[in-house]
Amino acid sequence: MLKKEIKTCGMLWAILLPGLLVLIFFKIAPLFGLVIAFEKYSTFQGIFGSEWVGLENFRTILSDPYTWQVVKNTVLLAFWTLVVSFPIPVIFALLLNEVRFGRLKRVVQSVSFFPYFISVAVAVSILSSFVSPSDGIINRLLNGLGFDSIHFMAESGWFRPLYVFLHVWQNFGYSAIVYISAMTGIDPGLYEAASIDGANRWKKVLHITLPELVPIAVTMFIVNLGSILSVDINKVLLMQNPSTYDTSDVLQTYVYRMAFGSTGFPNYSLGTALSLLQSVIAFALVMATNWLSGKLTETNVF
Amino acid sequence: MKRKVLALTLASVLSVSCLAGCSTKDAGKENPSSAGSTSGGGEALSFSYALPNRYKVWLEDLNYWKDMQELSGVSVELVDSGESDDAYYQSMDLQVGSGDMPDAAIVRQSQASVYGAQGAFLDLKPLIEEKAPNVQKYIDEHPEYAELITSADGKIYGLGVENPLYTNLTFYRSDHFEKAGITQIPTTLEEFTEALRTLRDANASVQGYYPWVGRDGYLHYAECFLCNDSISEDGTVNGVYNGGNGYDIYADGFRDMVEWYHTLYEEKLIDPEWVMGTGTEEEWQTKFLTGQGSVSDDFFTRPTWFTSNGGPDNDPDFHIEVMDLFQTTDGDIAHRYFDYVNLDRYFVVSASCENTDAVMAFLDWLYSEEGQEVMHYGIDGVNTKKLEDGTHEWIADFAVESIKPVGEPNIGLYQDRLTFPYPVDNEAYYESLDSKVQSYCFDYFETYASYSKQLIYTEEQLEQRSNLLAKYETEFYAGVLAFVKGDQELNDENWEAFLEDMEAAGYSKINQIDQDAYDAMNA
Repeated sequence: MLKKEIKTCGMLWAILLPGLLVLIFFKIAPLFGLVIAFEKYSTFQGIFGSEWVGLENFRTILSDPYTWQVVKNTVLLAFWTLVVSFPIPVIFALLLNEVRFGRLKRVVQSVSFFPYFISVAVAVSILSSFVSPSDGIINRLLNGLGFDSIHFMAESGWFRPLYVFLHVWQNFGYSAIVYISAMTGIDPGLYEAASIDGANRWKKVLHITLPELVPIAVTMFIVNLGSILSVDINKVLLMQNPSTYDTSDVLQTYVYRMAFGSTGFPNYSLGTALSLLQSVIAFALVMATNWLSGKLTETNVF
Repeated sequence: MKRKVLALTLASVLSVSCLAGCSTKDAGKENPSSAGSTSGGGEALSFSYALPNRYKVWLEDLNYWKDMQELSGVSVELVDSGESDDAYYQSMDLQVGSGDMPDAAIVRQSQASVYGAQGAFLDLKPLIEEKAPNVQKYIDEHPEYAELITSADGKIYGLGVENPLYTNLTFYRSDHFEKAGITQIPTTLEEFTEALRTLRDANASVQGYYPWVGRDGYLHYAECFLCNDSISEDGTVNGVYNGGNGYDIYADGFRDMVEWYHTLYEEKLIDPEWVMGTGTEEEWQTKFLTGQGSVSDDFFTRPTWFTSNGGPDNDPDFHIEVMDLFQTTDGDIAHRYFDYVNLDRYFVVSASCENTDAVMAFLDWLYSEEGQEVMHYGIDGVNTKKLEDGTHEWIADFAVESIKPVGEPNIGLYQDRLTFPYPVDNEAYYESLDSKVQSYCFDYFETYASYSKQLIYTEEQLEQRSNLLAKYETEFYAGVLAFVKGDQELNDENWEAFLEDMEAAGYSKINQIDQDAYDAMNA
């Protein structure tokens, strides 16, 4: 049996092997490290030598009322990020697909792609300059129109819109690639047939392009949902200040302060316990969405 | 067939290369802890020492780093173990865990006590007794130092680096004051507020001008409002203890202080970007250098820094002076506090160190007469000139040496940036600074600065305090800011609600931990 398998599929197994090894050693094996969520972990004593504390770390997190405040902030931030950033690449890809000049299309696509490569620190710095109350272009425009300056970065109400805006600006070009690729795979015959039937461009988008994009859009949605509780901690830390704590303090920043507080001793176990909780919730969300998607659109990721 | 062989070869190469990273140690790289040679047999003493990159670079730029090694007879291999402070301390966690730690390292006090008790670091007490008589003598003569380095089990896992005594001070553009017609330098908070108003009016035409500019936290002068954290004579810890640099929200002056900041904010006397935490250090520097601000309360050598970094180039009239610390609201002299021992810099020796003789010999030299002479005054004839009466005249100009770019050798001074423990000498430290700083620092620090009482916590206390502070500090700063900005009206009802919020965020619990730590140290 094994001999036959090697004879017939040996080449495929050989090609699969490197990826499989990476998966085992760098993705699956490290999961064992999650055990430190149930310990009072010390790097010196190691996983096997550290004191076992059971569910104490989870109790600490769940019994803290402030946890729920930061969970609310995290979910809201992630929700708005998902809701706003998910359709924009689809819309952008659809619009770009309608551009008839090939060169212009390529230029626009390349330009939209650039922000993806800008580091978060630089992106936040650019944003701060744009919205600066003293000399930012936005406030100058507002002043020109007769309005008072708004200190955008110091108003808690502006934190989420700015965070989402920055996320969209950095990622929509990159995310659109998936949809643009999917569109190239649509059978041109469908468009020709629609033209013969008298469909205009709008009708073609509505009745051909969009339905063809549904499977990939659903897949992307489910993938994005998996990271709904994973807001970008670097971005949040860079944009955060005491004026915005009530909307910007999220699970990750809270745990970061608890785990690596400058006055304390590093608490890796607490950080791991929280990450584990996050992962379990994200996993449940992905499974539920996958199931729902299968029911409603007959599209599943797995 | 050819394709098959090619594919199999490629797959093997990829498989091997993707596992290459699994190796825990680079076979070709020597373990730093075994890099040094041990004593005996006439071999030179040496040991490896981990520290953050920037300290390593600074140390290597210093002219007498080589002399320190020659005079002590110990060669020290500096091991770069992380770029910034935070990255460095996290890297030390990993090194402690992996067993790759060099012979010695600088760590946080909390790391020294926790990992020390777990067996990662050597107990230095018997080693000091046996091999470092100068260190032993110093510890015996300085019980306050002994208290801060001795753990609950009586062992010494790390030697703390002592700080010279200095604090922030208030400096101002004297040319701005002159132009605004302010002839009397403020000595009270009321006079200071008036001076800020005068400056604001005099500079109304300057775009983006605010009289008082700064960086980092803006809640200064708690000591003048008598609402900083403290330890009463009867041993009661007041506030969330931070060595005299925190706040006691139940002190009468705390609400007054918040009200005062609200006034400053409302009347545009303080930079709002600084208050709201959106301003950066670079922006503050630019504002002060370009005349968009007239007063700052910051590190004591900053007046020299601003003068050397473009102040007079931007404005030929640019001139900075230092003002006295304002009186307390009771009319007394206020005091600012600074930590005697830097809790972020404890010198530890790895339990697997094979070069303890070298480490102890170097430490003992640092505490010897010759070692202290070098640490305080550098090399005779290069950094200083020793005069017949035993005093020293500095050859090196701090103003020139301190702004030399990293990588350029300098004849500056071994100061807090460097990370070996040695007995501090405040006078020698002040003398090494430039003449401008010297002109005010002796009197200022003698009158207004004191070392604070430092608390050492147990592992449990550290963990609880850390968790509580993670919540309390954000709530505290956000709550105060709401009053300062005017988002919350400062009335009795809102103030009570604020105090209740602080309690819910853990104010009293933190205070109790501080009290317990103090009581344990004084039991």
